[in-house]
Amino acid sequence: MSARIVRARTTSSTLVVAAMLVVTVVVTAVVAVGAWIVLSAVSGDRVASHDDATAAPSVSTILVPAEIEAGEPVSVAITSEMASGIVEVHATSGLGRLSFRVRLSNGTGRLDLPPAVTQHAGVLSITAGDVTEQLSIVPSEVAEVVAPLVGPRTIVADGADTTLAVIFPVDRFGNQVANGTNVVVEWQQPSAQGTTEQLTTVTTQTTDGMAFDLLTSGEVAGPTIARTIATTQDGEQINGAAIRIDEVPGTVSDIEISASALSGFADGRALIEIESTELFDTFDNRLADGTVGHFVFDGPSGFGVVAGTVQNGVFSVELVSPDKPGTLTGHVELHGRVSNEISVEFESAISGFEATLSQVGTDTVLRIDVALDPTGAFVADGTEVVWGEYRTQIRLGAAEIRLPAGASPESTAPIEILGTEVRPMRAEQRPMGASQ
Amino acid sequence: MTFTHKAILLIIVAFVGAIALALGAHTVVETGRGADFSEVFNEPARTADTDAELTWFEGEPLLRSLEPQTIEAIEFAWTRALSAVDNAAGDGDTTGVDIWFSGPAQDQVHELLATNAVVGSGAWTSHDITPNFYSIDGQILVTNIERTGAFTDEVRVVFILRDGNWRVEHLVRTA
Repeated sequence: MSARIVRARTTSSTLVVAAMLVVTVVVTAVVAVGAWIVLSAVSGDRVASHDDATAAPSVSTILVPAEIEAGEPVSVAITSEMASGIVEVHATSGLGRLSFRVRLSNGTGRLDLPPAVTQHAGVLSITAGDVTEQLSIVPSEVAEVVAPLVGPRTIVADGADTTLAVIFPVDRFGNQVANGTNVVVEWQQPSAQGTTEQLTTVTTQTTDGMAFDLLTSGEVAGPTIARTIATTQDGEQINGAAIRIDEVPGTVSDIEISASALSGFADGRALIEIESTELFDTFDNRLADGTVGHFVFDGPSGFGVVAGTVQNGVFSVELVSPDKPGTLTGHVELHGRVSNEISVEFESAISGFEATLSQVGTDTVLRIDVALDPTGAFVADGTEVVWGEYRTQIRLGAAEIRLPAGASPESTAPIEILGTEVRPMRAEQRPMGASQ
Repeated sequence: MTFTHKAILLIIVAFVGAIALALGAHTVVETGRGADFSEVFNEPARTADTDAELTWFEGEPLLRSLEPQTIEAIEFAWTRALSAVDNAAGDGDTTGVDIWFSGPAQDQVHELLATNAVVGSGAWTSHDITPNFYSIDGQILVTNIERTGAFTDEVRVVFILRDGNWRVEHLVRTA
């Protein structure tokens, strides 16, 4: 009895487990499918609809006008052998492919193309099933002349350089206008003072949506203004924005320079100004401010190059006098042209000094005293004193070099100040701490 | 553990297993399609065909000779512009449209995208490019491009060099 009860209980438990397993499998399958659907929707895939599951009806004809003007409303008529269903209609423009769904009723359907499609000029292909028709959308009347694109913006006023103005007239939807639209380009160029401005007017027509005109520079430097005007079929003028370009002076024709002084003192500090006469190009246009040139020289301190600029038509540069006496010779190079040569004589900036070498305790001391310039004044503070490998600076006409114990400089080595050399005299040896 | 507890545990394990199975299957499918693993759940529906062949042909005599680096830059800009339309159609991100289009063409792309009907720029396998105008300052290039994919068409494209990038300023389908 108990065995039967146990068997009965075992059998019913097994049935319960089996049932639960079946339920679990069904539920998990539903969950898995649901999860797949959710994930696919998150990643953007279109969920198949009930309509897709049915066969798409075949399309017999697509009726669409052959040509419209941009912005005109357009309805596309679809006919099919099937009375009802959903037809997928594709419209292909230059910028992209669009997809629409049209419901058939009694074998016909209608698609009103959105304005964003019909406002864009070009060839539009309408496809449904195996049928394709073309709709040509032509631009409407010119409504705007977009500011001309002119480049380069700077040309040389030499009568040969060129710049180009490119014009894209558009209709009210931004479409390039039809071929043959009249465009006028006006160039207002600078003229020599006292004469009337040069105005050139060129009439051209658009081809492939654009017009262009090439301008050759004049011989007078200054601003040039480019204006464009498009004309509608009714003769209305549509003005574009004015654009400025600059006709700039060409290369310098001749350079003549001079120095503010033909002589000076070689003190390594004084400034000499090198200046040119007023500079012009071949067509008498004064050189533009900021034009860079270089003064190239050779002198007592060696070879050098100093950059300068043109301001108010004059090139100038400041030259620091060398720290050794001698002759400095140089010229200016600008735009590849070379000026005349100039020379400046630099005399010694020091008339003399005393140099004594003495022992103070264990130290060796070199003392410079009474360093005077040719005017009898002390040589400027900061003037360098060179003694072999040792250096110091003058202060109040004197300087001192104190060498540590054990150092044994060559006592016969000259001391140099501003290119002048003097050999030190040996003074009597003094005990450390003794006043001089 | 009682029998009831075991049954409940079994149901929970089965639930978790089903979720994991769905996740794993989706990952395998998406990565098998070439998607980056980190973007498996976040990729756009379509990507542009940047493997298309681009060939240049000689057209009208140009005012300025076309530099090799300009050719490369135009190819880059053109393929990126088409990709931008595809990406915008897929996930609504119009960043690329604002980069690779300018002027009227940019406005027109935005207007088309606003219809929510754009499915892409087209699956093109080749682009035959013929330059017809190149300005003397090298900033404006007008080309005819014959595109081949499921069908063939022709577009006239005006590229303008703005802020360091070539951008599509005008685009008209001519055939």
